[in-house]
Amino acid sequence: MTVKHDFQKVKEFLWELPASHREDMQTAVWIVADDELLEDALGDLSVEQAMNVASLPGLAGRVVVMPDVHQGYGMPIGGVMAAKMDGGMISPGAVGYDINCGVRLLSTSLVWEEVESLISDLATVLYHNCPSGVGEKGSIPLSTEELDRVCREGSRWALRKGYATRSDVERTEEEGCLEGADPQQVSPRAKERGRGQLGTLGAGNHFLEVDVVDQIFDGNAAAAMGLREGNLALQIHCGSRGFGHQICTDYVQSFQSAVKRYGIKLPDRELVCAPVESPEGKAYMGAMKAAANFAFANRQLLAFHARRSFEEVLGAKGVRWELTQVYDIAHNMAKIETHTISGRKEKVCVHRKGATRAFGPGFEGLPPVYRALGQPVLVPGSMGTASWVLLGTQGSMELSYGSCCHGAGRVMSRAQAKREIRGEKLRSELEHQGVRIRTGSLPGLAEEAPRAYKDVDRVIAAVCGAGIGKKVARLRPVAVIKG
Amino acid sequence: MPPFEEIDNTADWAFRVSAPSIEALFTEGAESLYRMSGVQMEPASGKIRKILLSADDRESLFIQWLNELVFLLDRERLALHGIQIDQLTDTGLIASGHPAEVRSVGKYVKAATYSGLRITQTDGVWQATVVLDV
Repeated sequence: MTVKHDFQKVKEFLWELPASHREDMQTAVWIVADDELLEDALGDLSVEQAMNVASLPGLAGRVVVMPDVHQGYGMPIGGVMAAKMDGGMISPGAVGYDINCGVRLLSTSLVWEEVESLISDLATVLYHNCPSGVGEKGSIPLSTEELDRVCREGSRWALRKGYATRSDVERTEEEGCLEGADPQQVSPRAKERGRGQLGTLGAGNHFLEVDVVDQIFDGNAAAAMGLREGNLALQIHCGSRGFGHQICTDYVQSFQSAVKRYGIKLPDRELVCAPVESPEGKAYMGAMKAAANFAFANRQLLAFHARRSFEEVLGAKGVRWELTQVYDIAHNMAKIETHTISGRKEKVCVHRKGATRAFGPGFEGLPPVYRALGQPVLVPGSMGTASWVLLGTQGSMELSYGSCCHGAGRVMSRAQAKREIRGEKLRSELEHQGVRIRTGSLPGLAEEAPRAYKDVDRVIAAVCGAGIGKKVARLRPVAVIKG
Repeated sequence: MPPFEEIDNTADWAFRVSAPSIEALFTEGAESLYRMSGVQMEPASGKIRKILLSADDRESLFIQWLNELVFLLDRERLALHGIQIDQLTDTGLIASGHPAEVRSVGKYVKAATYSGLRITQTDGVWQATVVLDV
């Protein structure tokens, strides 16, 4: 059993579990945390799962764990690993079932006090216009050929169809389109699921949230993002829906025999993998990119529905409004990137599962408006607590393969939350705090209660203290829409 | 030992299922999945659905079986009742069930995972622990 004593403190907010800790570990595990968050990480199987990842062959360097870490399956949620292109592995389970689950933030020039009386109506209309819950109701049905186009083009498909603005696309990670997506590597049954789910929020921990910009920490960066204190903003948290889930299911299944073919020994079957450059690895990468592009298009369509909702509620009252995209970023993805590791530039396959890309200033792939600042990092909190906007830093490039945290991180099991928290009571508590709730499932709401999560402010203090993120703005929720 | 028991899991859902035979473990696994998802079903007319699966080993077969049911639920809004395991080996499964119309689903399951999965037999009791990604 691993205990706190097994960790060495590298510096404030950074801990190392050396590779010598377990015989099969190939590399060290670094955890970004304060003392309390490290104790939290040791409270479930997070650390053991990170050690399992550190035992994979062909890792380019240490495994990094974010302070919002919690137990997942295979790789912990909040884990980052970098696999060598030659001899390293790509693992569907280390990306997750919800491929390109991510967050989109849109800013407005609406002043909270001036529109407060309309927010309840806005929440109701957002709930009705953004299809949520299980299944396909309200989706944009696609033929197989059109779905293939979505897979190849992502947000660009949405732009072509009139669901996006050029600025939306420019302010999306990879401009909302991963090159090399290969719909031919996607199974017919994944396509069956995907065809009927584009433009839907789904259920679970996905949401839309209307926020007020509560506090600004970096005026220059906030201005570039269009975030002004006291103004409204909108967050969208969603992924690739059943399409991505089925792709992951298919590849986790088919890789079960690939590991035998390549003679790979695994501590956890959910970590099944194949060499990055193998036919199996390339097939998964092509399919994963297809799901990632589907997810970019999906969040774009939800933004389109959100704009319809703003028009229905605010436009109808003569209130001028605009939803301007700040950024859209994935937190479940594998990508080929170049990083400096042990003083050498190396092309690696970075897996981020419940971790956000957080590139520092100067990265050419960022839209011009952010290039000198660094990449916006979007960190949603839990329903009743703050969300944060950060910037990627030079420190994140050096320490965590250009990665940062993705949320608050669960600390209470869903089963315990269901036992201890009543959805109806939670809803009235949140409403009392000024957070309007629209949901299709009160038990689902209870599972996502704020006290089931870590203190997001503490998580942010840890990533900023470790130097992998820089504070820009804090948001507080005024309306939450859940499936 | 109860046939179904929910287990604490930080991010996802987990359950332990027990049965007197491996065939019953597969039917109890299906029941547990529906229970965890809060599926409300109503018998519907229609032909008996037959499911044929093959896998490298028994654990893999069990996960494939559950994921087949997840797919039917999500894609066709279909659940099965009166499930029969017609044939089961370490690498192959033939099962059948009557189609049921799904009136409501409490919670959507993304997939059944291999995380920590083991199928064991002790003193005549078959047992499996499954983590569902939700």
